[in-house]
Amino acid sequence: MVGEWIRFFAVAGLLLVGMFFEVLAVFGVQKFKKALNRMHAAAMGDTLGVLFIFLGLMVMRGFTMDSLKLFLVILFFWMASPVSGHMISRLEAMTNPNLGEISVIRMGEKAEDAAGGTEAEETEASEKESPESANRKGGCAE
Amino acid sequence: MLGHAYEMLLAGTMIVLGILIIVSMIRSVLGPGISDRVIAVNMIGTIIIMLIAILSLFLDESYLVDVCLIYAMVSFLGVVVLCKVYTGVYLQRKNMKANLGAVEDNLRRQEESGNAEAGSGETAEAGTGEAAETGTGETAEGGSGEAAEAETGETAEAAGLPPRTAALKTEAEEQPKEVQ
Repeated sequence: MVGEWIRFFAVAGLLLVGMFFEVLAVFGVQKFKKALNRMHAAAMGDTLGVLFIFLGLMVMRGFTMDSLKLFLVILFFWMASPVSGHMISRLEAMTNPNLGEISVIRMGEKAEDAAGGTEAEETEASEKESPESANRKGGCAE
Repeated sequence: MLGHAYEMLLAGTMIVLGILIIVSMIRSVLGPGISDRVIAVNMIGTIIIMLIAILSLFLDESYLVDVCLIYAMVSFLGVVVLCKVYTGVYLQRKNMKANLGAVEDNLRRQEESGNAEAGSGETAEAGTGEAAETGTGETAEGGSGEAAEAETGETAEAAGLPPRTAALKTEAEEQPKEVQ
């Protein structure tokens, strides 16, 4: 009986922590003014919110098949959410005419300073790489 | 007593998550740009994942967890497809290629439309290995079109023509200056 109440308070604690992170994420998305900052707040808050809420639900279910499926949801979400966050950030960086200053780092290119800008290209330890593999580091645009 | 406590906890969590969904919908309507809207839709999808899982425990139906997993996959797929399609469409409309050099091209275009100095000529010419992929002609065309509008006094002439024709005209003028 006491064990059941301990489980209830563990579930309540985990759910409240998850809700706290999610509220922070939504609040951050509202408060920031640039899309890249909003993406940062959304990605961090969503990751931790999903983790803690699903951990709470797993504790509530115990050691059954449902807990394994919930764990699979956490696993898939942690794999997929950084990819979608990266795609959204690339959309923003490629198409926004008022982007402001960002740093672009690519491996295997010559170092170049644009006039008054912040483009920085590093060549450390990648001289041995072929140009094709160096170009492919940035993403899957091809 | 315990069941009642669990019900209240889960119901309160679901109500708060519903309010967060409404707030995110406001951001998806207001957001001044496509990226803000896509971020808001992605966040709504994530909150719905949490909501379906909590609902499956609230109603004590175990198949809703499968629905939750499938919805996570579909929402991820939708966001990725939307970003790729919109990036391709936007860059095609500006006559640039959607490859790895597009971020540097965007920064260069932004600088050249920002400062109307003579340094824009050398920035358009000193391209990286990736800019050579898109063709220096395209970068010079995109850059010199805006540079011409910014610095010279031909704004009336350039504004009278459609943007692409004006850009082609200024590229034809500046071509001997570029290719040394």
